[in-house]
Amino acid sequence: MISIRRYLVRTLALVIVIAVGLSAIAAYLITDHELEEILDTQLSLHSRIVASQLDPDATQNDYARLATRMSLPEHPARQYSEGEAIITADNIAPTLYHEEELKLVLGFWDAQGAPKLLGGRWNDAGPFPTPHEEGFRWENYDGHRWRVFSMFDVASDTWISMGLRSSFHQEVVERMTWNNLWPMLLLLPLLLWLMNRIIRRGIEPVQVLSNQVQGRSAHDLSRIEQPVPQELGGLRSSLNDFIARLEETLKRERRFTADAAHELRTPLAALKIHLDNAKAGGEQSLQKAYIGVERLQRVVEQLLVLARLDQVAATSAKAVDLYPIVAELMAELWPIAEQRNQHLVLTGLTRLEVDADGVELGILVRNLLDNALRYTPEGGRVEVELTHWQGLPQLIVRDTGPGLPAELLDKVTERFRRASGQETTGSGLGLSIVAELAQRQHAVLTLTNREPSGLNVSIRWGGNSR
Amino acid sequence: MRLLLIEDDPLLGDGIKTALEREGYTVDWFTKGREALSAVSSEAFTAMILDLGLPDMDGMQVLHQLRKDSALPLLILTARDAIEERIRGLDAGADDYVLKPFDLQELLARLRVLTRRAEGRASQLITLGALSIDEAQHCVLWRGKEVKLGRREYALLLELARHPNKVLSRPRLENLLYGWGEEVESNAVEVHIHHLRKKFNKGLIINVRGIGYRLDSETV
Repeated sequence: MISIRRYLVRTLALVIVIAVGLSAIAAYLITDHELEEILDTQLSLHSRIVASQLDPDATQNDYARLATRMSLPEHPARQYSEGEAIITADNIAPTLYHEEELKLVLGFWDAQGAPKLLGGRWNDAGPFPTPHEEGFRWENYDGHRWRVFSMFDVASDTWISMGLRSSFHQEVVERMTWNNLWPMLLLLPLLLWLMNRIIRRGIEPVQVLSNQVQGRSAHDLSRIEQPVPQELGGLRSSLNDFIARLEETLKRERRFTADAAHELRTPLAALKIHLDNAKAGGEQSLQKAYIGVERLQRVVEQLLVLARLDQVAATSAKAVDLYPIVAELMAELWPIAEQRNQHLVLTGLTRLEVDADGVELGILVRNLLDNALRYTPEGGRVEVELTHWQGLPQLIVRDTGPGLPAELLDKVTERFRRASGQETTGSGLGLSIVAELAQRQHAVLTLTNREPSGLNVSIRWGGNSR
Repeated sequence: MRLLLIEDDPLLGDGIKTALEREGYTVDWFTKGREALSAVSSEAFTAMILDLGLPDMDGMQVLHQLRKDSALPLLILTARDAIEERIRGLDAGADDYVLKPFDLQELLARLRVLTRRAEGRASQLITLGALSIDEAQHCVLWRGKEVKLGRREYALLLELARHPNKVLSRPRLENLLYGWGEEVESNAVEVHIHHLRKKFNKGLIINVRGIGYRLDSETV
């Protein structure tokens, strides 16, 4: 991504340079046009004055006198007779009063188009072309362009042409354009420098904000309090929101890690001390160490399930039949229940469609069953029922375990919350996994105690989304 | 020596109790903070092991409650390893801090340090004339020779030797031998004292009639 400052400096500099260039070109074209009009007017005016001064009965001698006046150094005026140049012997040395005089020439032709008298440079490459009609025209002669005005003087029966070399016009236009341009060119660097400064200043808050965000350490989660211009207000507040959310997430993670450490360390400590005791000769201690290992194993497995659930954000929910999933899992857990003499019963519907991910449903049901079997004493009963409740699919797991203390019913879905005093290998994560999955599937999890004892867990899908 | 253990995890609590009893301690084990506090107010203990994560009240609360009126040596047992937690625990009045999972030998050593410090001793060796007791080794020497003692005999002798010349009441000595809720045999103390006198010297432990016993440092 290009830097904003560089982009602004570059494009604005380009715009300024182009603007200066365009204004110079416009000035040139306008001056060119206006000057042409002025010069054309002058040419026609001078020609008219010459015509008005021309004597109708002017003799060769009169023209010879005129030729002497029109001669310029190295460019003598020529008088013609029958198309041939007559060398005029003059006694006055030709004088040049101004360099530019060489560029303005006057000429006379008779009615038949034969030259009578041609001034200065119009003889350099033979006689200048004869005029054929009145008015302005462009003529190329002797490698130069000439602007020519011609008129026919009826009184003296003579064509008069007056011409101005285009380089004269050109020089004036160029000089005028240049005079307009150079102050601008002088100012241009100053302008660019100023522009650079202004842009740099304007962009500074962005730089400061960027440095603040960039320069902070990975552990710095404080809000950005730096005052910023209006345009950056939104960015700052979204950054602050993001930081706050990140902090929340980190806090949750930290709490989870601490809880996980606790849940791993306690069985580990138990395992260690029972092994110590076994070494010192305690016979039952080895058996207890095994329980410790099983609990550790369970905690680790459940932690992995939770970690995976945390990683995957969205689930691919589609209509899934719950019955085969529940039946399959119950068949799988049957041997464990059998071993402990527990009754495992499935009742209700044999087809119940819910909107959820099949794999997640499996994890959810397994945790519920696992929990129920784990906390139900030997000879107890775990019953699973698939029903509809007010048109919503519902799964109920009832056990004959000890149930939960009333104050724990709400809290037991928090991670690592275990009812105290139990002699089982629960990880304290089962119900929190269930709660997490229920939330992801837009299902409502309800825990209630049963009379005389036992826990009733119900999950209703679609309860809070439809 | 009688210890109070507060640990909510049944598996770990059971393991610690077994291990400490093997070392000659009498252990009263509670899983709830409230029960432990009421036990402290009614019985005499040498030291207390407290787990911070309890179901009914936070271990720190137990500690604050306890420190209002008791200087009982206390060792915190916890899985929370954050340094702030340790500082908080120690500042609140705990004497030591052991992180789970711990080494049993270290836990025992720290317990010995706690009781020793509470009595103002610098060494783990109690020496009274010809009698010397090494707490760490559970080894009792009488006139340079090792004397073999049963668990309860050792517990009685240690308690008497820790408080030489002080009269220790019979109920206190009984408490020492039997944990909370255990059935006390009515003449157990007399029987063990009798055995001790036979193994050492008749005048070593003096009967203060109707009250209890004391260890006579002049005799040793």
